[in-house]
Amino acid sequence: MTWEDVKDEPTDSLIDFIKYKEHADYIELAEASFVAFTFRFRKEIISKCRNTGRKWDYDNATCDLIAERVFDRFWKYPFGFEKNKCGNLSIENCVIVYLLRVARNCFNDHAKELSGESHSVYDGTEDIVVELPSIEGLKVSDKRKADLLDAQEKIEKALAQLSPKHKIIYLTYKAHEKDGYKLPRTLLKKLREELDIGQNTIRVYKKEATNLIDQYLKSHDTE
Amino acid sequence: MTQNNFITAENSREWLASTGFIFPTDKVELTRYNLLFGDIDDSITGNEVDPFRIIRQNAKPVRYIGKKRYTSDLYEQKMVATNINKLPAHIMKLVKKSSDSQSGKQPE
Repeated sequence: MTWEDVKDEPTDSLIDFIKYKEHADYIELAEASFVAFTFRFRKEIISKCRNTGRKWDYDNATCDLIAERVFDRFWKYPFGFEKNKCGNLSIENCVIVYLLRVARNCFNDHAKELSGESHSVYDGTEDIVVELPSIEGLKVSDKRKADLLDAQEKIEKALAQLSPKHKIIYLTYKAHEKDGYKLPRTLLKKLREELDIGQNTIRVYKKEATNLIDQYLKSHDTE
Repeated sequence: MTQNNFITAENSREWLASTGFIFPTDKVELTRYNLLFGDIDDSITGNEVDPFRIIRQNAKPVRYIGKKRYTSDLYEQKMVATNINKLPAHIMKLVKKSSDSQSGKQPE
């Protein structure tokens, strides 16, 4: 099957066919439809990427690269497009607006890559923390050690009021969370699977544990 | 000093989108954008974006179980989740024809 077999299909059908790409029997149909789809919209998208990119000081070659990335994203994630969300737009215009929204994200990603912002703050070695770290082996002054032990004891006591799951979530977040960033997805997934709870529950547990410990430390400091 | 009644704080985003500083997001903005930049430059051939390259780059290794080509277990779940339409008859015919020619059978 070639793209010429489906070149006259309406746009919404083409997109439906592209969504079949995960199915072994229809992968050829999906590929042919994607080629026809790209041929139908690429000039429009390249032109708009160049027009808007020019205003942001991007040269044509960069804009073309980003246009290609737009279609690459569409091939990877065709399920994001839903026809019933088009409202009063015609299907062609709706696809163009959708692809331009992808383009906007691609431009943002490109700018982040250039500025080095896209590098993750996590290094991939993060793991679930089950226990507080041992303080005995640390090379610090005795006074500092005593302070740390004291604080650790307080936190242990506070955590004892909650379930073990609370403790693991609290410790893992405290150990790895960086300001303004979510924990790495792999770590969150591991956490969900090990504890057998959803992300919302994790969020609630984290909040409960944080509130309790803050409260506990506050009330014991003032004593 | 004349007062500008057209561009206000509320509609400035709409104007930026209509004049191509950012991408249009709805019908009005797209129509205005096309009035300004609707003509596609002759220097754009379309070959800048190559769909075959995109497909090649993203191709997953294909597995065969027996003689059947096999890609993903997630398909059924995804289909339920997205609820896409059934294939029309003339497309089913095309699919059948190409899979027959692949497996060496003569098309009817």
